[in-house]
Amino acid sequence: MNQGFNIYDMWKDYYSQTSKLFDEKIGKDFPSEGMGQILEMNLQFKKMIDESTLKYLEFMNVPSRNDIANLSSLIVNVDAKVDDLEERLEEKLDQDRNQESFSRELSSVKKEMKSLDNKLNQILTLLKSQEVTK
Amino acid sequence: MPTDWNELIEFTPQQYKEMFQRAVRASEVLTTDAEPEVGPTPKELIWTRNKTKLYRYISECPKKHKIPLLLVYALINKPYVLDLTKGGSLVEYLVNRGFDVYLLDWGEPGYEDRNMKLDDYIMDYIPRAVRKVLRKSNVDEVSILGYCMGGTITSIFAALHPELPIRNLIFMTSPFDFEKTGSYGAMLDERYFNIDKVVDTLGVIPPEMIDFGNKMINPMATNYGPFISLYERADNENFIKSFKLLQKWLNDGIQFPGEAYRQWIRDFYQNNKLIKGEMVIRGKKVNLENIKANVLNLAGKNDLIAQPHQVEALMNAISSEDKEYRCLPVGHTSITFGSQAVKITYPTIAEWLEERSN
Repeated sequence: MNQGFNIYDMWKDYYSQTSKLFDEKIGKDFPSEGMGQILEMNLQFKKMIDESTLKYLEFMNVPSRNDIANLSSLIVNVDAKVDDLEERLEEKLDQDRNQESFSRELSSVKKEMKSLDNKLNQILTLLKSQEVTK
Repeated sequence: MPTDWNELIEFTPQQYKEMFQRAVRASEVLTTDAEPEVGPTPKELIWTRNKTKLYRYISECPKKHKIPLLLVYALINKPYVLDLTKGGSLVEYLVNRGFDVYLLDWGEPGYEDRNMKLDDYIMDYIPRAVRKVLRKSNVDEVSILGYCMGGTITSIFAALHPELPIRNLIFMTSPFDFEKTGSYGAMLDERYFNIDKVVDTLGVIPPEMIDFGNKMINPMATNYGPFISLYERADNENFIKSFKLLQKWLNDGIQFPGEAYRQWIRDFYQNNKLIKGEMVIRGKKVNLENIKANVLNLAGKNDLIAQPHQVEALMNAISSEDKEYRCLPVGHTSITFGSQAVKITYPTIAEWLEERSN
């Protein structure tokens, strides 16, 4: 068998060239209208199937996808509400923490003021007693 | 029977023997090999809302940088492409360089989420996730990295929430200008693509439809190219590993909530509202000029999904003083996975972020 002859390589060359040409053609001149028509046809078919399935399920008293989705969205709404509450709670806790540190700071300022006041009083009494002795 | 084939192939020239072995291995990869495991970096769940989850990555590496990083991914695929495999993961790389990394995973929307709009994601989900990150990391500022569409919605979020302390924004192949989108524009031409009919009929958009649209940009190269490469390189186990990981991710799409899809196609692709300043989200006009954070805007030179000119357009629209645009020699996926990503993208992001995260 001739070792230089390789069917795959031949095919690969052919494929590379044709696929490149095809992709370039699609990029330059996209078949928008044709694709739109195919999409339209598929949507029409899907709509028809959906409607008949819905009618059948209704007739059979079986919950449809819409019914289950409605139930799910109720759960999602509850989840969102719980999440909102959690955020509010976290904000409140942050505020409380800030409030707490603020009141701690305030009481330490009060204490410092008080001790300053005492010191001032002591200075004043000392000054007065010195004046009396003069 | 396979034994007979093996015996028969022994008598053929070496090149046919190799071709046969490659064909056997390629068929094994496509039919019997186990799916690869993804998302190797350990993480903890911080917060959930509906299907959305916020994760924080755990690492033994010490945190070297004060500002945490939140990753925001697109609504159309699973975000594990950011943490695909050991040694090929943006998350792992950043965590090992001492960043505190979080990931916002949108989850898999169901039919009940068909009425979710981009407004909901931008106004209810991202701000909440940002506040959670700030609280959990106990910091005053945050960095955000948005990939693909995740970056586009992050830019809207940042423009609408100037009150939130965002220090750094990184956009990775995120489109902002939708004027010239090539084949996408032609495919989504409003004369032929009836977006209302699509959304009203389907409710949620199946991942196959989105995948088909993406593949139509370069149909032969994207549909058949990977399989021909697989056959040609089936004797290279490293290539096979990458092939399996990417195929798993590409074929693991998620449904797109209908209303969000309607907005994405109509407001972005058909009317290009974002860059024109005409986008309205929950009654508020989106003005990209409100973005003042430091910005690193990354484009992929070979990216056909978010072409470089679409990405670069953001630079003139924002008012950040510290802003940088870089066009890397990569494609839309190879910006996060593959040898070029490890060599170029990861260090680019980490170095830029390191300078601005303390």
